[in-house]
Amino acid sequence: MTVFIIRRLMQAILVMFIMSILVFAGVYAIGNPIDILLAADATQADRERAIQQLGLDLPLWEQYFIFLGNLFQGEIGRSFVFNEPALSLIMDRLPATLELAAAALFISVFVGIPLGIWAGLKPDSLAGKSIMVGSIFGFSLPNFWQGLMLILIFAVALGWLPSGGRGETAVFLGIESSLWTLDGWSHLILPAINVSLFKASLIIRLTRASVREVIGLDYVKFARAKGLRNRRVVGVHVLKNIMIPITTIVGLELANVIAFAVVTETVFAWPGMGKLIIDSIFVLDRPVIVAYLMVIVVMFIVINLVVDILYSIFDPRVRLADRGA
Amino acid sequence: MTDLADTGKATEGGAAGQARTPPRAISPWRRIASDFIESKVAVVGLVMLSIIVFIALFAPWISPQNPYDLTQIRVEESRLPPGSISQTPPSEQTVDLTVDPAAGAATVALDNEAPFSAVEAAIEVSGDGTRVAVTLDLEPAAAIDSLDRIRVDDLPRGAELSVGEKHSFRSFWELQADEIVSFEIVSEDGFAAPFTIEIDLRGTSGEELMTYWLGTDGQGRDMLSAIFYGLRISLSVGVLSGIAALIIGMSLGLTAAYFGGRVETVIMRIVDLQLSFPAILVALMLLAILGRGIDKVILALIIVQWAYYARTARSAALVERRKEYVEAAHCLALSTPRIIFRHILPNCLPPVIVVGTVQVANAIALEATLSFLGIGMPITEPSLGLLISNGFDYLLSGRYWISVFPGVALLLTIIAINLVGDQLRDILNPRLRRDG
Amino acid sequence: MAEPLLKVTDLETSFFTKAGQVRSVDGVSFEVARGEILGVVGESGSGKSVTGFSIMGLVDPPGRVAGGSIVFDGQELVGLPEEAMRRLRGRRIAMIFQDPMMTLNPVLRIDTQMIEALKAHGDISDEDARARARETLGMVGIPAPEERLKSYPHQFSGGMRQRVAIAIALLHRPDLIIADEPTTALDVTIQAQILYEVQRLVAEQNTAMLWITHDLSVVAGLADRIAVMYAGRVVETGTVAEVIDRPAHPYTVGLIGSVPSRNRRGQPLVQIPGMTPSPLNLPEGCSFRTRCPRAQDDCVIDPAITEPVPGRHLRCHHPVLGADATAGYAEEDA
Repeated sequence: MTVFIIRRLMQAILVMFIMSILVFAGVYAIGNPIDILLAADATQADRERAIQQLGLDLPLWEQYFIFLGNLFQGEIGRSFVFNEPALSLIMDRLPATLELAAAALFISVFVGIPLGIWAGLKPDSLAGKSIMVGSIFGFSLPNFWQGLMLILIFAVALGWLPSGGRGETAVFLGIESSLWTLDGWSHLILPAINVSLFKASLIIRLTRASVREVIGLDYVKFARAKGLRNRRVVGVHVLKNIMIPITTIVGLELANVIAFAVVTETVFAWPGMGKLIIDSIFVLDRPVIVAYLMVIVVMFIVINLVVDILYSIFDPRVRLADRGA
Repeated sequence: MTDLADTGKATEGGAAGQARTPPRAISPWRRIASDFIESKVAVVGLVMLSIIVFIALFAPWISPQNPYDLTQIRVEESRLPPGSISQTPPSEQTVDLTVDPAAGAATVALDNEAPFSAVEAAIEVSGDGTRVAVTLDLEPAAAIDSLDRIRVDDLPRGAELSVGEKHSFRSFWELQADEIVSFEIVSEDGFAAPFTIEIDLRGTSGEELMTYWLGTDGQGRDMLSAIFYGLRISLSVGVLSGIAALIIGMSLGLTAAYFGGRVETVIMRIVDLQLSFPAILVALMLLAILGRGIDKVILALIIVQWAYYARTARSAALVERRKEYVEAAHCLALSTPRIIFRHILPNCLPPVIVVGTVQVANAIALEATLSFLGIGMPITEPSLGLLISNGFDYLLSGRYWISVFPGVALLLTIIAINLVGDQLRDILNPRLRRDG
Repeated sequence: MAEPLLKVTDLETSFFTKAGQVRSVDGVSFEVARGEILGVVGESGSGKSVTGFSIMGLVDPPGRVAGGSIVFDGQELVGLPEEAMRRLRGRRIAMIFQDPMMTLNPVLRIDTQMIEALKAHGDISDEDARARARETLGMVGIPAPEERLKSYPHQFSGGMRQRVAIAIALLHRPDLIIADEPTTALDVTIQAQILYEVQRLVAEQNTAMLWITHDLSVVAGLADRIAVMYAGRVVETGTVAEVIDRPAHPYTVGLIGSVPSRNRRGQPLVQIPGMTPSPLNLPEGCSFRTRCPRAQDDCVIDPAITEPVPGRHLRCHHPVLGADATAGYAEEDA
């Protein structure tokens, strides 16, 4: 098992290297790094100083190593707008986005899987059919429109929940987050639902399809033939087999959660990374954009690694096959 | 022998090993069509989709109004709720009434022909010279629905009107419609010389021009027309980028599958890399680098979509490549492009078509999202996403129609495409095929 | 004679699909006595597997038992509430399936799958359950059962997996085991081993068995009695000797005749002409009528079940009694 993890880790580091080269190429080789890293209204003197400072007159491969070195130290340039290091700007906003992502993940898994199982076991019932129709709405409606509707219904028409912003935060176990306060939840719940709808719908459909597929298989029949209670047949035999594709989707879709967070944060004025990036694109605050790109890449790689590991926990065939390979 | 022959002829139903006439050949398209109709929901989706496409194609001709023609919209008709009726714009005119108390005559000068084409005035001066009774004969230019503003200004010093109300601090008097026909100008000091008063009139003929079935937006544009035009743009961008992505993706996918080896590995690695990132982030980054504009949006959409087509085409082509007809084509020494495009491609079409329908829906949704965020289509070519974005601010103040209706239109489009795509997928999926 | 352990009478099981009613089991009757092995023989599509599932109450929708009676140890199973049926399954009637790879859940360990079977029918401690599992694995001839318990199904060979499935079936020492083509997916040598084990165990425990197969040669050595099925009906039952040496129903005759054997080396193979009718569209009357060399006009009427000799049942108007095995079948295809 440890061999497996180590191997995956090495692959992850390799991918990170490749990505850093790609980003470097995109910024320094293809784009004009001066334009990207410098404000549009810099004077000629500023430019020359910047060229010197950033070492842009050095050969490309030397620049790459400097770039890499800077990366490790967390320096990716300063924001034009805020005049702060771009990376620290992003890291400041990261917790808010992670909160959103965590809440959305929770909702989509713990609501999506049970609904999907229900729809899979009773596909022709009214509940089963309406769950499926509902799921179509969940993933085909554009994310921002769902957000608008949520605001319209719950904030404007019913007035139950606030229409935007983040709630109060509190510190628990050394982590400051709005998850620990009631006010925080009242602000969090609508955007979290918004982000989770797409994923929950996918999970529902996938779970239902997997359940339909598995329920006809021989080992389910055999489990029944042993006289096991239906609860156990579904809860253990069926569930464990469908966890594999579901975990894959949950993991891969985590990337989408971060992506949708961008839209949701704009609609709900949630102060996370996503809102920052949209604002930065508008004002062409390029260092922030580059920093965001790098952070995203690292996050994705980490997520893929975790998914791979979870995969091997759920499916022993993967784990054991690896030993021989 | 005869036993068996007899047995065969005595058959009713069930196979008996005797040859029967072969079943009539049904072309695959006909079979797809007949299978498709089996699902009522899908047929509903298809009908919806046809209506939407029709609207998109003929928008300029069937819209009640061209919402981007500035001469057709009026700011005073902005933010009207659904069902409001647009009326002809009001006309205003100023009537200069010159009164000569000594001569007992009055003359009228009009600066405009509407709302009244002619005005006749008659005056009577009172005995003591302190009151001038004015009678106006107003000849309307066209049928007048209402006079909503009547003001009398420029009265001589110290003079008052017998009717109406004077503004609290400004110099004019506000009158009602029935009061303007006959009124008195009163001045305790009498009237020395001829004087001129200004009568400002504003009225509407009350003619109904059009109904704003879905209300108007912040600039006074008819929402229904704006939605029709928006559908047109959303759909064209989605379909255009979808088709381009399909062509590019499918070619690359087929090439990868057919040639294998290095070519395949390189192409598929790029596809995998691309697909591991969510579309919206890729589009975001691309637009951040490329800038704004309709061509750049389409380019970004193409770049985001081609990978799906490539992967699907390659999987299908891999399966087809092993089949015998490809070997047969080889044996006939057909050229490679011919084999790829005329033999393998048609058999790979079903899954690609299925992916295509869903992808078009996704492309439309993605473009809407980008426009909503403000980095998509420019204001000159507003798609539904931009319309929704424009209406967002009004949402919180209760004017829901500016955002909600374009949103519903977007919704229906996406749902219709998905319904059709779902059914197509079920039909074209070989594993679910129920034969015989 | 004592009451049979299992008595199936006029069982009807159909699948109600959009295409129509598929009569998989169309009036099946047979009996199994305690400790007896009944071989149910038929081609694919004859309804033999569905018969087995019907007895267990495991027919999946859109199918269901549409008529008839199944009496097990004096208790009527048709219409029995689900919970009562569940208590019987695994404990008093067990089932072994065809493909052991698909039968055992690939992501669960062997001990999990065995212990849960034990715990489903009563309180038993983990250690006792584990001990019982180990013991049963040993019984079916699996070496080093303690380690094997901790393994996953894909770590076993095909033959071993089937032994595990048999072990699971034996856990509660059931009265009846229904085996649905258990050796079809195995190599011939492994097949022989499994057959031997099964014979031994069944004899030891005095378990009754319903052995469903399409392979006559398998049941010939194993079973006490045979029931031959065709198109959803039992057309002939009898002892092994009776059915194999002196087949009476023309279908059985054809079946036995079509087994290549050394006795007829060099001669063309015998076939039954035509194909099995689709269960959506069965011929009126005797369903074998359309392929039967002995069919005559009165075969349009459903033949009743006759019992020329006690224990020997036939469903035919014109059975072959005492004639040569291949009489009536042309050697060349017609």
